[in-house]
Amino acid sequence: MRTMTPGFFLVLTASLLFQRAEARPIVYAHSATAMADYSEGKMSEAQFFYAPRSFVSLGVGYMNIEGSGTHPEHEISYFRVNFLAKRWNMEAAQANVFVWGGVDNAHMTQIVSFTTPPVDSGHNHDEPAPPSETSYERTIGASGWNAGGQIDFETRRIYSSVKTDYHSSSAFTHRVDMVQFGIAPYVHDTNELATWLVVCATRYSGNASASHEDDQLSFLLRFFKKRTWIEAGATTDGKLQARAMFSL
Amino acid sequence: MKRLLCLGTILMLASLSARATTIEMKVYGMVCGFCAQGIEASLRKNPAVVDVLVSLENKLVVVETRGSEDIDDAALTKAIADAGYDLKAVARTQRTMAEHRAGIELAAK
Repeated sequence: MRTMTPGFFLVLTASLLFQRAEARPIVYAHSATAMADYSEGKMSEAQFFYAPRSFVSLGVGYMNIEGSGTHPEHEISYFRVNFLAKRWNMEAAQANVFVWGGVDNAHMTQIVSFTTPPVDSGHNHDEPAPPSETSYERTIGASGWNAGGQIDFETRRIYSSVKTDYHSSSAFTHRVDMVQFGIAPYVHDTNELATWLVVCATRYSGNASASHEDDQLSFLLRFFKKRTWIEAGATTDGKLQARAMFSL
Repeated sequence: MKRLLCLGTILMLASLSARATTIEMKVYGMVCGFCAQGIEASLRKNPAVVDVLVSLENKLVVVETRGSEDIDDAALTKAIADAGYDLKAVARTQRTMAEHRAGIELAAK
């Protein structure tokens, strides 16, 4: 059973009120973007997109979801198209609606255990032989699809974003919902280092494994200059979170 | 001969001062380094462009062109739109790129 922390609602409310320096699936026309995401104990993801136009990009991604028990490993390789559905350019602010979708190739490892009945060896009839425990690992592969979206709003002092990402296959489903709110302690200009203090609320869900489902609140420090964007921090229970984005 | 040389120099200086040195554009929606990168990359595709300056603070994009070449407003609007932004105003000025840079740095202090 998941627990909803007050912080999760706080960040959600803040985002709705202020509704970005958020990672974007499309940066600008003819740009390539590489993104990496690591959440300790949960998942890691890498993406690479190329944008032929300012409103569309396409590329590939790889995701490794940590499991437990009889389902220790989950992997998804995917192809995705990102589309900038709407952008609002205000005098000193910008808001965007991104949507995306694609096809998945999912793999899941499963530990299969079974008990074999004792074999009567005929040597000792007084004590029956114990049953034999046998286990082996098998990989289940399945094709599937992915879809998601992001709404963000950004000035040079505040930003917020709401994002959802869903992967579905017959092997398992996986969903991440994220709300972020950031404040810049100082206003940056072109070619200057931008610094952001970020609060991030994340919900992991899906049937990849019971232990995977969780709500997390994390605090991150983000640096952004020219074509490089990195952030790192920790969740309230001390787990590392880190993300990076490079525009080529 | 000297008179002709002086006259030529004066005419050359006069023609240089009459043409626009830089194109200033007011652009909306610029909030981060990626915005500036996108706009610069889009404008530099035009062979007439020599240099581009983007100031987030002033919502300003300045373009320096090669020689006496001009870029029409439609081409500028398209370049900015291709980068994903909105061009609100264009002005041809006599200010050099160095003067623009100095002005922006001075204003930032």
